[in-house]
Formats: sequence, C-alpha cells, structure tokens
Amino acid sequence: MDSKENGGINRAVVTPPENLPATPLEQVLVAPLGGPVQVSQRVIDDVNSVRPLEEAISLSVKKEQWANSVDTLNNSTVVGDARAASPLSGVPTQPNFETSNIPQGMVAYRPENTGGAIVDTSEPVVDATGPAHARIRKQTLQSFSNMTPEERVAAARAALLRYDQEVGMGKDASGNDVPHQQYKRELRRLNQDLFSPVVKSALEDRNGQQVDVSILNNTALMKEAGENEKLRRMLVKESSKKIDEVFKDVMDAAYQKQHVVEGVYARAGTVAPGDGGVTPDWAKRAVRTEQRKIALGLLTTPESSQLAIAKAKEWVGAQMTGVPDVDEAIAGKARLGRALLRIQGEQEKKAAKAAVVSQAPVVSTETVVEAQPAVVATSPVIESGVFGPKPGFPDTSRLVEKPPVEDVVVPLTEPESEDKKRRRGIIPLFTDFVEKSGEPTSGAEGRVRRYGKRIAIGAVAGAIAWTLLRSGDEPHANYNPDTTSPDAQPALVVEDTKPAVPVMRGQGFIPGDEGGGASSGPFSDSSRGVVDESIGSGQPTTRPEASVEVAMSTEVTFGPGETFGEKMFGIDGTTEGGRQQISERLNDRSNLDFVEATVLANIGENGMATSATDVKQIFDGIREGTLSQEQGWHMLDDVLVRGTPDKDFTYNMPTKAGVDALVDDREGIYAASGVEGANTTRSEIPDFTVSGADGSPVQVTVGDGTGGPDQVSQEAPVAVASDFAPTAGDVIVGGGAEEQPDVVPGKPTNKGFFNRVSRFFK
Amino acid sequence: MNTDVPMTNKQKLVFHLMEKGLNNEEVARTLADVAEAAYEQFTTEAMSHFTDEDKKAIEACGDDASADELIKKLFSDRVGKDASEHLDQIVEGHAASYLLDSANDAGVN
Repeated sequence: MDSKENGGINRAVVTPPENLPATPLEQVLVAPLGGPVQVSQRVIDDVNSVRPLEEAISLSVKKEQWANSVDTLNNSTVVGDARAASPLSGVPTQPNFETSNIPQGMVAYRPENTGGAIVDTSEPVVDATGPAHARIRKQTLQSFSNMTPEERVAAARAALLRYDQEVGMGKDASGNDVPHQQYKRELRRLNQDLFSPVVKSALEDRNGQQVDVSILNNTALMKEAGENEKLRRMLVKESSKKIDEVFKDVMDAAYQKQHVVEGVYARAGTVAPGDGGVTPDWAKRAVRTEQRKIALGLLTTPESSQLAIAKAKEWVGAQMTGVPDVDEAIAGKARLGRALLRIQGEQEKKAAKAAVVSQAPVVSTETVVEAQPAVVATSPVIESGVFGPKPGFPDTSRLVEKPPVEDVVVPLTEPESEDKKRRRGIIPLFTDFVEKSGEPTSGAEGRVRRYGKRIAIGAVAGAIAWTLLRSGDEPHANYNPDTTSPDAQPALVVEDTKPAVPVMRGQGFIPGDEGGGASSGPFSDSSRGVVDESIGSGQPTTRPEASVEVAMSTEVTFGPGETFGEKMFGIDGTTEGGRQQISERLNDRSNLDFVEATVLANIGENGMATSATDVKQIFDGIREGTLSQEQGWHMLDDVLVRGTPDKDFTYNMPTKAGVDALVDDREGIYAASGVEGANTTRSEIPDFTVSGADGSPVQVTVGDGTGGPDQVSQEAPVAVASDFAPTAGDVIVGGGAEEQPDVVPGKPTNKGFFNRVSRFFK
Repeated sequence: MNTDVPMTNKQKLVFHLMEKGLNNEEVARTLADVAEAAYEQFTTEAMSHFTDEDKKAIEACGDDASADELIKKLFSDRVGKDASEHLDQIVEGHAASYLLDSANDAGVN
C-alpha cells in the first residue's frame, strides 16, 4: 500500500494484481475523523485518465459522477471510523478491512462509494434511489445504446466490479446496510439483468447481417419441404448451421459472462496481504458462489437459454419449429453448450482457485494443506470404485476365501438418534431427486447421457450408502466393542436361520453386469437387470449359482476393539493394509451380508420391534433377485426410519413363491405399470390381483412408501373385472388408481415381471 | 470399523455435508449437483470423441443395456480410458471441488 501525505489527506493505493490494470477503483482515500474531506487533484487526474477497464462505461457518466463526488466530498465531514465497525457510527461493518496502514482516527472510503456510507453527505452524489443493483443496471443499460457488443460486455463487467465495490462495502446506495445474503442475491440479479441484454444484443447484432434467414423463412419453400423429404433434410442441415452460429454467439456471451464474474472473483481473491483487503470476505465468498454456479452451468440462466433457443428458432424459421429434427438440434445444442460451459467453468475455477489458494491471505496454511490434495490427489479408494470391483481389485469370488464367521452378537448401546434417522432418509430422497432431474434426450447423446447418469448417480449414491453405513458402524455411534464393559449387553443375536445365502456370480450383482455405477448399485435403475430378466420371458427362472457363502447367517462375537469389517471379512484391521482391504470390501456393493449385519445392528440399537427376520427377508429378496436393491432400500427405509411395521405386512415385498407362481402359471404375462413415467406416488398405486391360469390368485401388493403398511391395508385393492382373463403374451398396462387394468394382447416384452412391477416405485 | 480408513472424496463430502447440518434435501441436492455435473462432463467428453459412425451405432442399439456396452467400448477405444473409472474420477473431482470450496469458505470465515 502506498500511503502518503497529500494536503492533509492520506491517500493509499492498493496495488492491483498483476493481471489487472491499476484503476481508480483501487484507490482508497483516508481522511481524519471529524475533519473535512478533500479530494486531491491527483485522484481527480487519475479518474480523468481512466484505464481500459472502465472505458466501456460512458466516460461522461463516470466523470460526472466523480465530479459530483468531489464536490460533495469536499463539503463533507467524516463521521465514522472504519475500524469502529459499528453500524451506529454510520460506518459499515467491514469484517476484513485492512487498517494497518490507516492511522487511528482516520476513515477510509473509496471514490466509487459515493452513496454516503462513510461520509456525511447532505445530498446524494449519485442517484441513490432504489436498490443499488437497479441503479447500476439502469446506468449501464443506458450506456448500452451506443456501444458495440464487446463494449457492452466490458460495460457489464465494469458495472459488476463497481457493484462489488460499492455494495460490497456493506451499504447500498441509500446508505442502508446490505446483509450478505441480500448482497449475494442482488449480485446474482444484477448479473442476470446485465447479461440477458448482452446475450440478446449479441444475437440481434448478427440478425440480418451474417445470418441470412430469408430462405428459411420462405413459407412456400417450407411448405414444400414438408412434402419433400430431401429438401426438408437439406433445410434441416442448413438450419443446423444456423443454430451453430446462434449458439456460438450465445456461448461467446456466456463465456464473457463467466469471465466477468471470474474477474470479480480474481480481483476479490488476489488482494495481497497488507494491501488493504478492501473487499470484504463475505463478498469474496459471494463471488465464489457465483463462480461456482457458473462452473456448474447454473448461472446460464433459463432466461438466456430460452432467449437463445427462441432466437434460434426464429432464425431457422418459425415454420421449422415443431420439426423434431430441428427441435432436437436446438435442444441438443443448448445442452451441449451448457455442458461445455460447465467444463470450462470447472477448469477455470480450479485455476482461479489455485491462484487464490496461493495468494489469498484469507486462506490459512492449514486449510490449504488440507484442501489442495483434494484437487489433485487420487484416493486409493477411487480405484476400487464405489460399486463393483475394478481391475486389479478383488471381485466377489474372493469372498469364498473368507473364513466362515461363526457368531454375530450385536451389542446394544444407545438408541438411534433422530439425526441418524434423518440421515437415512437421504437415500430415497436422493434417488427420487436425481431420478426426476434427468433431461429427456434421444439419440446417441441421450444414451451417453443416460449411461453417464447411471454411473455418476450410482457413484454418489454409493458414497451415501457407504457413509451411512460407516456412520452407523463407528464404535462410538453404534456399538461398544468392549464386551467386558457392563454396558455392552448383547441386544440382538442373529440366529442361524440361513446357513448359506447365495450371492449372484459375476462382478456385479446383476448377472452379466460388470459392476460399477448405478447399474449395479443400491439405487440402480430398476429397469435394468436388477432382476433376472428371464423371469416372465418364458425362460426358466434359474438363478446364478451361489458362489459364496456369506457370513451373515451365523453369529459373530465381537471382542474388544474388533470391528464389523474385521469380523465380517476376516481381515486384520489393525494394519494399514488391512484397513485398506476392509475399505475395498466395504465399497464392494455385493457385500450385502455386511450391509445386512449393519442394518441389523442398527435395528438392535434402535430397540425397534422390527424383527431381524423382516430385515433378513428383505436382504434375501435382494440376493435372490425377487427384489431390486432400490426396492429393498425403500423398504429398509420404511422399516428403520418410519417405525415398526406390522408383523404381517407384505408391502413392497411380493414373495418368491408368488413370482414363481406367476411365472410358471402365466408364462408371458407381464404386469406393466400404467403409470410408468408419470409422477405417481406409491400411495396412488393400488393393489391389484392377477389370477393365475389355475385360478389361484397371485397378488402383488405395493406399499405407499409413506406411512407404513397400515395405509396400504386401508387401500381397497382395485377390483379386477370378472372378465379380466389375461392370456399368455398379454401385457397388463392398466393399474391406475381409478382404472381397471387393461390388457393389450400379444405384446410380450423381454422385460421381467419385476422390472415392470418395480416401475410402480417411481 | 476403524475410522481412519481412507475415504473417497464423495464419502468425505457426504460426511462433510452432514456435519454442516444440511438437511436431507440440501444434501441430496448438493450430491445431485455433483452427479449431474459429472455426467454432463462425461457426456460432453464422450460426444466430442465419438465419430458420427459411433453415434449412429449407439442410436441403433436395440436396448439401453447393449447401448451401454457399446458406449463403454467406444469410450475406451476413443478416449483410452475405462468409462466407469473415468466417470468415477470425474465425480471425485467434483466432490473434491466442493470440499475445496467449503474449505476456502471456512478459511475466510
């Protein structure tokens, strides 16, 4: 900081980052408390020689503002001390205001901060009516009229910088305190307000100049095109080029928009220690939030996207809208553009963060040391994947090598906390959320997207499951390993009811699936392979032969310090290598036995009346394929979180016998949900009964998922019409709450019965 | 289980969000952001490497399962990485990014 005496006024100039030009915006004036404010000629000269950063803003406007400021300030009296940090003094609270170079009794303000936040002004220096963002927006937009697109972007950038500084001081233009959250909102709104016209103007500037839409707007031609496939394709191809141009403009504007905020971010984050720290910390965080949102594509506003799409449609000809190829091309471009922006944002965000981490005084050494590896380091666990073994790591067959574990004695310590129950609710919530957030796509991109989505969701969902289980597995949370302690009374002994539980062969849980990602995770897409698809297809309902014997079937007694992982996997957890192996096993989703043990442990701790048999039945259903893992998790959630189910409840869990009966007796009949794809809750799904060929009913009961089995029992099953007599090959497509199942004859699918039924859960 | 078993960034993130006291929906939304950002990035990367013929072949697949297999193979051929592993690493990266953001925020507090 350069500080010197100048006519009774201390003037300090914060050294700007190397990559940003020095501008008057960095200047800080210091004046004696209670004394008159005088503005040095040098400062005025500086303003008159504004640097390129501000050139986009109308100089006349800026100079006028500054002149007003000088006049006002020269007749003002300093009323507060920056270090007082008291709103009562009229000085905004500035959490990280660097005052080391400001003498006691002096206050600091910036020339731009002319709203009277620090100085006692008898009249506003600038139009201080309305929120600051609206005023700045108005001023900026007014100056847009005679600007080129590039100048408009620069103007918007400068306006954001100005807003950051002005409002970032803690006061709006009216002198009111600006809470941090409000600041964030206003910054975001300003950003959007400014850039919507930027995007719009960028599009409009090209309209009729570089893009000739006259042909595409020819109604007669388009009419002909509708009848002429070749011409239509040609026009679509031509349209695609136009769309490319449109979105190039949009992306250019978005890119500029990103850099605007990034500029603010860099500016906020790279102020060197001792150089003033003029940007409050919370302002930095606010900017980083914006940066993050840009990186994630969330700040590519719906407004700008819709505008671009509308413009693209307009350019390619309104008559073309409704042509699937064109619509898809536009939508696809928009999606791809957003994705590109996100990637770009992520990359540049990391670069910016690296710079900030290395320079920002606000990041402690401890934080940097802890945080930096997260960017570059690869955890060994990554290589093992969340679900399913990865190359070089053990697959489920290695479980055969495990020594049999004899006893499982799960001590009861303390009831499950409400927080813990709440956490468990994350699983279905997350699943529901991500399942509903997908974009409908078609074509190769859609399939790639779905593929990536499944894996990504599986990876994250797996982390949730792992974390929940792990949190439930920590000794302090769930059990007291010290069996010598009087508090470690065994509460639940898992009986040896099933000496060998088959686990499907293969790397993943799904036959033929290679594991990894959601396709094999507990939140797997229930439309894929969770259930042996031979069911209902006329093929024998064989199951993959058991490849392992799981240990959950017998009791395990924990000794002092022993853990589930050690016991369940027979691995010495006292060594780093052993812990790593346990971690790998935990990440292997196929270790349902371990999961089951953990769940059982939690039941015991809860003191819930839920029987181990119920839980084991769920896991058996998962293992045997009569129940998808997703269904199983929903059920477990109900059991564990929402209370103790009735002993005789059947919800969500059709019996294996029922499945076999259906498959055996009604080969080729599929119960397909009539609510597929709809936003139907389970409470809207009725029971329905399908009569087997021999007349014996095969009932599939679907729970409501919200209130336990009681609500299910209160729902009257949909009466099946007496003439409802499906035959082999029919597809039951009805089943809505208010309708009878319909039968569509002769349309068997290769989907398994439960793949269809599982759709009820969505 | 020992508590010092190495965790993935995803797992760290879940713990972190829970410790921050986020409610279920907030946690889910954050994690959905991670997943969404990851598969968006993966999609873009894959589509930028696939040829027109690749895309046609993907579209021509009779079902999603076979399409997945083809995408997996094509990604490996074109990008030289295992799709699942790569996407998992992308997720890890995004999770790490969130953690770093959070660490930075904590640092300025």
